[in-house]
Amino acid sequence: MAKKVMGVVKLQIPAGKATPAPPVGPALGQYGINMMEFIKSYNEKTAPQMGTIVPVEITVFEDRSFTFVLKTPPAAELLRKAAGIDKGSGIPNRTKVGKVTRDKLKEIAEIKMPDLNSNDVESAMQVIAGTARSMGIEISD
Amino acid sequence: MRWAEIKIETTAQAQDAVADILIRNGCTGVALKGEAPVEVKCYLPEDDRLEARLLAVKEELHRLPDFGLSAGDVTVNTVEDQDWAESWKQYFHTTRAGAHLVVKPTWEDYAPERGDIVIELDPGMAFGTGNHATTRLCLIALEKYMHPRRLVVDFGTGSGILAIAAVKLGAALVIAFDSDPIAVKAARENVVRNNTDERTEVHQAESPAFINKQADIVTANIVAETIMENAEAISGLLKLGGILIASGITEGKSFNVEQVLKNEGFDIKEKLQEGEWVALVAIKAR
Repeated sequence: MAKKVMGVVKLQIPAGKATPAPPVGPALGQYGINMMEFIKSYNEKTAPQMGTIVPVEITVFEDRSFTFVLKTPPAAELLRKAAGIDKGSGIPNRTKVGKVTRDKLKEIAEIKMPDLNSNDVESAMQVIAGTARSMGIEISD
Repeated sequence: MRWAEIKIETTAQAQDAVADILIRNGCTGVALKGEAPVEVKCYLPEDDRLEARLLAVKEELHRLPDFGLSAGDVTVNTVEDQDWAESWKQYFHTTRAGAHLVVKPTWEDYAPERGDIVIELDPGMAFGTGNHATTRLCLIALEKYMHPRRLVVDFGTGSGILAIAAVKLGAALVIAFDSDPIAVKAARENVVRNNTDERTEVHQAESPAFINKQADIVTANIVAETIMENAEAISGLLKLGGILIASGITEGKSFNVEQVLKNEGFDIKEKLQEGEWVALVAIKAR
């Protein structure tokens, strides 16, 4: 019989650098699972992507055992990579820090569609374009 | 320790932009809950940077509607780390590693047997309890290869467990470092707790570049990629004939790590394994 799921925890944390400090500690501590086991495994699996944010979804079962899957990078991460920048702008309406093409925007929108509750690529592209502009990244043709 | 817990109820469309703003302003990640709305939660330490960071977060969130994204409501609460920081303790019990080393949590009683070398530990929010295979394998190797009056470097010290073990096994000096300030604090406290502080230095550093002494032993309980990236630096740190104890390596990556170490002049002396985790003992031969 399948084990009963006690909860699902979604985190966006730095690859290879998870620690029991927040947000990992409070999110997993409430379920009383073996946090160190998760941290060691997550860091080991994500070490090749060090320097990026790798989302993870952890399913905690009734017996306090757990499994986890790594998810696609956040849109902001994909945009940073596409624009070749380390971080977005704090004043995006004035300071622009990079550019992405519409083709690249479409590619990112297609990757992120399942997470955006979007039914079509066009509306997903609008959301990704908004995220890009909020980071000071311009859209070019 | 006190934290500002920042909670934002936003839309699925804006969640990545919100998370990016939070991470860019000092949060070391975010937790997400729900789908419509999505609750994005993150934490900032209550220190002298908090006010400026919160102001920047609020200003940047306020601008999101300009880009067609709805930020949602922000609430900030103060939380203590006690409850969740303690919950893992139920998994940490007194453990034996090797013939003599015993790792004991500060909150448990233990009557040492003849010949026991007891390490008393409160790892706090750092890694390294001796309960995980990667740390246990390091302790076993350290006990086997450690000789008195050696100089040891502990790369990624975490709770300080390996540094303490090295001193208790006779090291003249241990230079330990970690990039995580929380680990450095925990390691310093544990080093004092075990009366090994006179022979231990704990530094906050990303790499061993700051060390200008030649070591007899380097312990590195980290991850395969970091060991491979730093293989040249580790080789440069060790005396000829010096020993590297490298752990945190999964079975599938062991071959690659071995190749990188061989290219840096190491001979693989021993491979210890527990489950999927491997620890390598390598001698600097050239």
